[in-house]
Amino acid sequence: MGAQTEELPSPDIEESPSLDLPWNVVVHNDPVNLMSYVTHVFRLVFGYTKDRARRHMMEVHQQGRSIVWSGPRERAELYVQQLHGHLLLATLEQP
Amino acid sequence: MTFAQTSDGTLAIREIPEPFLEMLKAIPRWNESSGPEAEARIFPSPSVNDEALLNDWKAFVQPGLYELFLDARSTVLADLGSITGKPGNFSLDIPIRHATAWLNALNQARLAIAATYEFTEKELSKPAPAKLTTARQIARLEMDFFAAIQEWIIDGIENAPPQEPDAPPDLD
Repeated sequence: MGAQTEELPSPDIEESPSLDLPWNVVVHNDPVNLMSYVTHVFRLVFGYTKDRARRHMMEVHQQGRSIVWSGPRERAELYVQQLHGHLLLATLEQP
Repeated sequence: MTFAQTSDGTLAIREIPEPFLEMLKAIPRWNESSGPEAEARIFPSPSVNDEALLNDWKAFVQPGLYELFLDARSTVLADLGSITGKPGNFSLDIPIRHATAWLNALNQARLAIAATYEFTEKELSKPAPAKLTTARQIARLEMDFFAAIQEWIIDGIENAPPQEPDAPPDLD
C-alpha cells in the first residue's frame, strides 16, 4: 500500500517537565500550636503511627518545617485543606 | 477544679471556679473575633507563590473551612449551655464525640488571642507572667488555660473506649 501519510503539525503544548514530579505537603512552625496537638493532627489526617507523627512534629519544631507527605497534586491539596481545617500552617510545594 | 473521664469517654470538668468559667464562656467569643492578623492566621495561604491556587483556595476551600470552624463553635456553645452547678462548683461535660470540635475551637481561640495581643514566639516560650494586672497578661493566662484543656482532651481521645457508630436515620 503506497498511501502517503501526511505529517500533522505538532500540537501547541506548553512544556512542563515538572508535571510528573510529586507535590510536597509542608507544615510550618507556629509558636501557638501545641506539640501534642500537632502530633495528634498528623495521626488523624495521615494515619501515621505515634512515633512517625512525633518525628514530623519535632522536625517542624526544630527546623521550622517538615515535608509530611508527597504525591499527586490533587491528594496533596486535599491534605493541605484538612491541615488548615485543624489550623496548622501548611502549604503545597513542588520541588 | 478537677478533670476526669467517665467510663463512656465523656470528659468532665468539675468544681470550676467562676473566673475559669468565664474563660470557658469566652471561647466562642474569641472564635468570632476578627481582624486582619487573626483572619490571616486562621485562613493561611496554601502556597508561597502560586497566585492561581491562592485565588481558587479563597473561592472554593475557605468557605468550607469557615463552615467547619462555625460548626466547632456551635458544638462548644451548646456544651457550654449545659453547664450545671452553682458558684464555686460548676460542672461541664464534654461528650467524647465533641472532642475534635473542642480542640478546634480552643485552637482557634488561642490563635486569635495570640494574634490580637501580638504575642511573640519568645514570650510564648516563657512561663506566663506572675502578675495579672493587664488585659494582655490575663489573655496569656487564658491561652495557657486553653492549652491545658487541649492537652487533657488529647489524652482523653487516646484513652477513650471505642465509640459506637451513630445509629442510621429512621426512614419510616
